[in-house]
Amino acid sequence: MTSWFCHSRLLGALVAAALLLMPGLVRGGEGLSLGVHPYLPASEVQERFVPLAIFLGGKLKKPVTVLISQDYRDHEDKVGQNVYDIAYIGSSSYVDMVERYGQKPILARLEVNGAPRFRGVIVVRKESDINQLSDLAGWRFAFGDPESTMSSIIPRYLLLGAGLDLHLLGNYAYLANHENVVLSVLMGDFDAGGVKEEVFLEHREKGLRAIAYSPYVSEYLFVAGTHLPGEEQDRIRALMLSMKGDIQGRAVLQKIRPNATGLVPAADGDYDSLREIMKRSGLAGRTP
Amino acid sequence: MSHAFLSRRRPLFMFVGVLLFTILLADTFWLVKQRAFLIDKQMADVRDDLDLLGEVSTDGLLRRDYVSVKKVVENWAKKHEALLMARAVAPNGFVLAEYHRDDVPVSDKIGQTKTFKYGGRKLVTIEVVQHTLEIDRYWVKLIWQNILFSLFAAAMLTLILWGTLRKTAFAPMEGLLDEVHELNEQLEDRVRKRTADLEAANEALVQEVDARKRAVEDARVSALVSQQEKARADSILAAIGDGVSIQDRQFRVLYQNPVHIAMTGKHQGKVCYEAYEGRDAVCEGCPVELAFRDGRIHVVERVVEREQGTSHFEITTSPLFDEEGKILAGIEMVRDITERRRAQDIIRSVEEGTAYATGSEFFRQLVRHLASALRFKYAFVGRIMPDVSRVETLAVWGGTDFMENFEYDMEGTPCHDVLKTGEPCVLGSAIQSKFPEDHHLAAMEAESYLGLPLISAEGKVLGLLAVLDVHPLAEESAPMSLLRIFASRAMAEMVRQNMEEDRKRLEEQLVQSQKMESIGKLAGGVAHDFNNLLSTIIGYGELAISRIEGNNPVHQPLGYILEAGKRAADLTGQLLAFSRRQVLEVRPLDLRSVVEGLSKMLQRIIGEDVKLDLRFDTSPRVVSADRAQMEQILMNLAVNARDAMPDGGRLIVEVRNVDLGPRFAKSHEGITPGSHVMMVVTDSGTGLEPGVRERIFEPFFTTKEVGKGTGLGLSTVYGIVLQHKGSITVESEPGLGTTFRVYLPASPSPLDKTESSEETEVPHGRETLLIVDDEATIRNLILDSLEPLGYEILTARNGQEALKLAETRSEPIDLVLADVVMPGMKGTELARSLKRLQPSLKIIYMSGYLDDTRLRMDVDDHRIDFIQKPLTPRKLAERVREVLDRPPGVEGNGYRPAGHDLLTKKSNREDPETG
Repeated sequence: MTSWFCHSRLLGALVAAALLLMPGLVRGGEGLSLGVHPYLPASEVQERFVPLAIFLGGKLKKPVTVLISQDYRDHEDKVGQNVYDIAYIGSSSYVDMVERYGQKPILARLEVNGAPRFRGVIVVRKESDINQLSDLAGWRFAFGDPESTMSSIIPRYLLLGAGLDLHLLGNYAYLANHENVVLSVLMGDFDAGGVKEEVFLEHREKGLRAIAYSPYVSEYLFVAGTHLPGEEQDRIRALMLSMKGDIQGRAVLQKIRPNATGLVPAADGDYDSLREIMKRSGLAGRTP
Repeated sequence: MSHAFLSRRRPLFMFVGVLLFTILLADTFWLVKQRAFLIDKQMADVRDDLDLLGEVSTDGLLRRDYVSVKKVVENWAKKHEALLMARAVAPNGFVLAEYHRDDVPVSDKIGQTKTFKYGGRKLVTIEVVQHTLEIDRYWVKLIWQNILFSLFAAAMLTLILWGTLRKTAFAPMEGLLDEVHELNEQLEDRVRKRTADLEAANEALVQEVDARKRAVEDARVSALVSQQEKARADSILAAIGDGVSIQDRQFRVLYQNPVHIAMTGKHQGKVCYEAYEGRDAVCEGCPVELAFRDGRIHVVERVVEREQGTSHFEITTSPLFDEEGKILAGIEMVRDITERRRAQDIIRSVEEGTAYATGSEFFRQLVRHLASALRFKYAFVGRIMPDVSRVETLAVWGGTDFMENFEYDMEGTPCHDVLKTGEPCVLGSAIQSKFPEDHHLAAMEAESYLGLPLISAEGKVLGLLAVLDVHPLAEESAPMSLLRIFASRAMAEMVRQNMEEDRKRLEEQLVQSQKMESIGKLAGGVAHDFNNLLSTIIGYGELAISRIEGNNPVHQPLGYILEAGKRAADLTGQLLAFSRRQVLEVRPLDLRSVVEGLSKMLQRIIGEDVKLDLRFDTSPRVVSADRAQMEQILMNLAVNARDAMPDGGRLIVEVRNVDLGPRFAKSHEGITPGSHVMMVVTDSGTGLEPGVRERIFEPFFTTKEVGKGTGLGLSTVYGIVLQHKGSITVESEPGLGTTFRVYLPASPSPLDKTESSEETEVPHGRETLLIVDDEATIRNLILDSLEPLGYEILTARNGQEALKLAETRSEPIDLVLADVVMPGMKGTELARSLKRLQPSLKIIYMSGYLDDTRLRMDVDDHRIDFIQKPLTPRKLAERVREVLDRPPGVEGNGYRPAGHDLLTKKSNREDPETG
């Protein structure tokens, strides 16, 4: 299985490269396109999503191709403009995309560790004197990617909620990803950081402590292009939802997210809380 | 290979060996160097990589890309096969990246560490540990290669060199060697021949020398033997503990053993009286001279005054005879008896000091002499109190005078060890630290202690004798023998005192018993007289009532008179039981009725401030017992309970059915398994101490003051219970009251209902009855009771009259009713006399009590028929009829009298009722 996926990764990369140069060929034809935002290096994105493409293709009896957007903004645009038949999109990106382009049919959202939602955590070192958000004034804070929901948007929302604008921090920086954030705090280069709970739990034993939690936010999701026939949408939706009860389906999802336990139904209203957070923190309409 | 071949080629082999060794040595040196070089190289490679890694890490860290730094370090470590471990550690100790390789076998490890900085600030420290496994493997391969090469090189070199040398030098030398060998063999032949000749001559010489040696040896051995014997004799004499010396006929000292020398000094060769006494003539009474004179053994004692004091010596001399019987010398044995004399003096002074003393004065003198004899400051003698955890001193000497006697708890004192183990106790020093809780030791400032138990002939520890001093004990064995002598004297006196006390106590108890006996006699006599009066009242009361109609006006008053008479009869009956004067009847009995019938008396005994509580099973079983004895048990236990509750309390009396199993029977004397009735008497009194509880049933044992108790009450109860084939137990704890449980076997016989039945017809007859009683009212009552029933009644006032009447009468008498206690001839005597006249005569004895032990035994032995006073007409008629109807030759009921075995704990008679 692993070697098969490696071969598939290479094949997928070649196809993706070709298709990127020919946007017109992305849509239509017998196959489906699966768009993914570049939250990881391209090769890694391919490695994670090509198995899903093969799984879906096998079940739908038509090839599914993985395509990677250039950046978050580009991804939102492509999804909003129905460039992709199916797209995997982050929660805040979805909110932003809907804000700009309107709603898209939701196929399913990820369920991780049995829950289709996640939350962010503000972490400090265990021995730190910082015990609450308001204590962070004058200290150094690490964010992840500026567009990341859990490592930037939500932490900033929480800081604002505690009366802390960025200029009140001693120093802050964007470190590109969750792991860098926790490592920077553990290394002592920063005093606190914002990450998703999953990352915090993974690194907690190394010496981290949480001082604040965000409200829960609905998980990343799969949407369909509005151009896709409703019947097709239903088929894909049903197929995705059935992956939870299928060993192979769960294995494929765990390539995308190691703790994924399935895909579950979602509705636009599930993202209202995030929508509210982004609005309050003045981040609505920005890229995730 | 022949020896010659090897010997000739020895140089070759040596050469090869040295060459090989040299080559291997060189190889070894080179190999070691090579390994070090490889390790250095490896470390240098790693160091170079480490620098590169550090640069990459620095860059990543500056960019805050910790993930990439982590990956770079881990990937680098993974690629380097020689690394066991690599870590990137932040300045604060956080391990950013870590890699371990676990699948490598253990080998040498080399560690390297490098810290990377930027702008003077530490960024990260990378630690690596390398293994040398590959180097080791390579090195092992090198070793083998070198060994093989060395062997090969050595072999080649040897061959080349050997070949060359052989050709140029060895061959000529071998020829010369051959010639030398031949010459050598010739020479050896000549030498062998010459050697053989010399050996023969030598052999002859050796034989001669041996003979001479043997002669010398024999002489030497003889001298040795006599030396050995002398040495043995010397060692024996030296081992003797006494001084031994030998004097010749001129009193010259020929020999002294080491002990004698130590006693008198070295005087061998000197004249004894000059050397020992500084005299110029033989000492008066000299035992040596006496032995010379009469050839016998003499023993004298000499007293020698020395600086350290007076010494006593016992000197025994015996003559030494030669083979002809002539006295050659005298052997003198000197023994130091100073200590023996001293001990004898001490014992004598103790004997003199205590000869006329007894009791406390004896002990005072004893301890004073003891302290003086053993040179201890303190001495005391103590006795174990009845509460066996305490000791009371009988005399205490305190160095200059006697001290006050005192009592003390043994626990935590040296005396505890002595008294509990029964063994002597010797504590040479620091006894206060060993017994910190014994304040007497502290008060005495005692340092050392010797204690001996005082043990009686029966092996019981009665007390102890001890000495204490304020100094540590110098020698521990010497005083013990003297202490034992004193202890035996103390023990004898203590035993004598105990016996004296026992004797006094027994005397007191005997007096008390005699008093009770008198009181009992008085009570019995009074009760007897009352019984006779009551017989008249009750007897005529019944007669009168039986002759009038129920509606007669006097019927009711007569009833009252009869009732009062019966109540009075009950009371006298109980009084007789208490005084143990009542003759007993064993019948099927309901103990519940006994208790209920006695309840008024019990309440009177225990007093108003004690509540009487009666409890019964609904259907108590029947026992075969004497009612009076059962009442006596209850009253004795009630008296006991009353004395235990001086301030009031509660007395519970229960009658219960119980089934006793084999285990209970095994542990309780006199019990057989089966159905029983248990009578329980429980009080809420002061309870019994353990030492008292064990002795509670002993005759004459009492905890009360003299005059307050005989000590016979509970022993009586015990005897009664055992007679009834029962058992009694006591449970008691101080302060928790006392419970007595009496177990009596259940009887299969039903209750006798005939006694209580008033409805059956009064039996009658026509036989001739002779009534013998000194009381006219009794005679008249019997006459008036039985004559109307058809009997012919004869009366007599006493035994003589009755006998005369029987002798003169021609018709036989069928039955005699005789009072047991009459002036002159007693009832039993009369019976015997009448039986001689008429063997088939039947006799019924009458009495209220028996106060004569022999009489009881007479009654007991003859198995008599008996009727208890007070008499009632019905009882008389029924008893007479019963005896008359018994077939001839059948003995009476054989009532067993009470009392004669009450003072023993075992029943010595079989109960004929129950067999």
